[in-house]
Amino acid sequence: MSTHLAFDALADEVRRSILQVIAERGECSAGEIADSVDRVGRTTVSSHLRVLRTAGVVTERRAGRHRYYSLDPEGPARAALEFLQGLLQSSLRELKSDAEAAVPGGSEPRREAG
Amino acid sequence: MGSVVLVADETVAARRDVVYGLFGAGHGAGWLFAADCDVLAVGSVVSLQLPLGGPQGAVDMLGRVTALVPPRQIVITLDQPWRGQLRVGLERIGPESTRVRVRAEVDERGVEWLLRRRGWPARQPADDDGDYRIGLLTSKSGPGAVFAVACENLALMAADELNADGGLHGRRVRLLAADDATDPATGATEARWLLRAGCRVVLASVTSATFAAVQRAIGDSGVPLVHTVLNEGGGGPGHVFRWGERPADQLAVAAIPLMRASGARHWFLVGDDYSWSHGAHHAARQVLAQAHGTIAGERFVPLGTKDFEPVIETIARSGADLVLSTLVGADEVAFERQCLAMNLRARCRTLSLVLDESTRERIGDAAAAGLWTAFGYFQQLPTAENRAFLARYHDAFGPWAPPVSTLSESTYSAVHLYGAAARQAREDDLGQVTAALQRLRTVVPRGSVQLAGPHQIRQQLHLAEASAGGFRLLEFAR
Repeated sequence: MSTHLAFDALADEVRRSILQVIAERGECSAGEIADSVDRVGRTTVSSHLRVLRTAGVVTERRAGRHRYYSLDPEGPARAALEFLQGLLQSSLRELKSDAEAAVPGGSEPRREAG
Repeated sequence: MGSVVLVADETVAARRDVVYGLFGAGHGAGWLFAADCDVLAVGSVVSLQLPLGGPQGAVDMLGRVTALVPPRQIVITLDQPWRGQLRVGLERIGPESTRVRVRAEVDERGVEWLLRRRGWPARQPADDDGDYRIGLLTSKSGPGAVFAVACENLALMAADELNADGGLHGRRVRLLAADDATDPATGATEARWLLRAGCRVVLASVTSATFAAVQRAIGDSGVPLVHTVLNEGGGGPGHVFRWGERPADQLAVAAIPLMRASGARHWFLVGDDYSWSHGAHHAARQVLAQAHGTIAGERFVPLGTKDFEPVIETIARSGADLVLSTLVGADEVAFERQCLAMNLRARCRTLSLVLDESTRERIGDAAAAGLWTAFGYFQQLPTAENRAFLARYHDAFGPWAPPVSTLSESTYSAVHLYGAAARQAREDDLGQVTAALQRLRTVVPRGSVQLAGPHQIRQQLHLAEASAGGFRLLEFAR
């Protein structure tokens, strides 16, 4: 699962409402979710659920003709930690460019006399 | 899940001592999340900025240096927004080459915080675990993170103590903590979550602005809601409690002695632009008038202000010789440091109403020296109860745990006061719990306290002056 996908999945307000419904009720069907989220129809909810599943945020269970959705207990935590790891790494990259710039004469462009 | 350790490393083309020397030197924004500290020494406070993005931008990480091996290792123990170590190792791999490795520890509460901050819905705890849930709303981020630093630690300690004493109604007490990000709307959302998660009480160690939003959001639920920390007061139904010091009482203890000690009487009032400071300044006008003080000027700034230069220039021009600061958290830290830098101290003495231990140490010894304040609790209280309390705190959270303050002690005491009230009531009778909470009388680390109705707690206040490493209690000084 990609961290990017997981956080992109959260960028949408409807998807956040869907997640809130699933978080509050535990496992629920697409129909139950559509009934609880205002403003959008069943088809839209289904396509948002597909995005959330691809991003590794929710898991799907099939029982006969019905599909049930729940939060992936591992997915979000893993995404959060990968995100934080990325911040650590980019902070060190900035340190590298700062420290190398601070070295006397190090990366200073040499000036021609005159 | 316990905690996990994240590792990142990078090879830098520079001498190891040069790289080490950049730490906290305010050199650009590069060195590990723009680390900022006055002195690189064991025990020094450090702040870092975690660039989380989103509407609130970077989040301050607050911690302190807890081990140093120059020029090989720096260990920072974080207190906010989660607890854990940040270990930086510098390995020399050549005369002009250094490998920097960072190991960051993140515990379960840290992951949970990160998910909430990124907009993830909070997971509900299982309904049937039989735990007795107590909700704590506090500030792990935003300007209030400075004064709220030990609140969650101390609420956890109190919950453990209730459990060691049999729990409540035979159930294990479990603390659910949420972060208001020093933002009223976030606080209201999180308080609703605490109620949905089955909390029997919500303790709010937050600003008055957040408390007002929380009261609007969940105030009609009948579940006891307690503003644990100092506040300006205000109305509300009988199950909405506002404990903590009141500005009029703080001023009654501090204003006349400061005027007498300094021979000054022209006050400039500076505060954050929300209900706390407005309420405190209203109280100040009455107390100061009775004491024959005059008001030379007044300013309110938005909560979260970082640049106080214009305000300090206004104070300097006003002819004031006394400053009353009602600024809170990171704002108070920035203001006092800039007052020292701009030499305002040469003409004004300062009384600060939210100068707790954590705020004082982040202002730093130099800029805090000589500031006055008055609270019901200081770490220096020379009582057996307080010594035993601090010993338990350091046993539980280690020698480098953030200092206890009146704000975190009151959070600890609120858990115990609630526990005592719950034990006097039938398990699900909110009315009985509420009634007990209006008339408890007990001894807590600050001393004897007596609850009198929903909006009053009787306690003794102490006058203190900030000094190197802490406070000097003036009533105990010669």
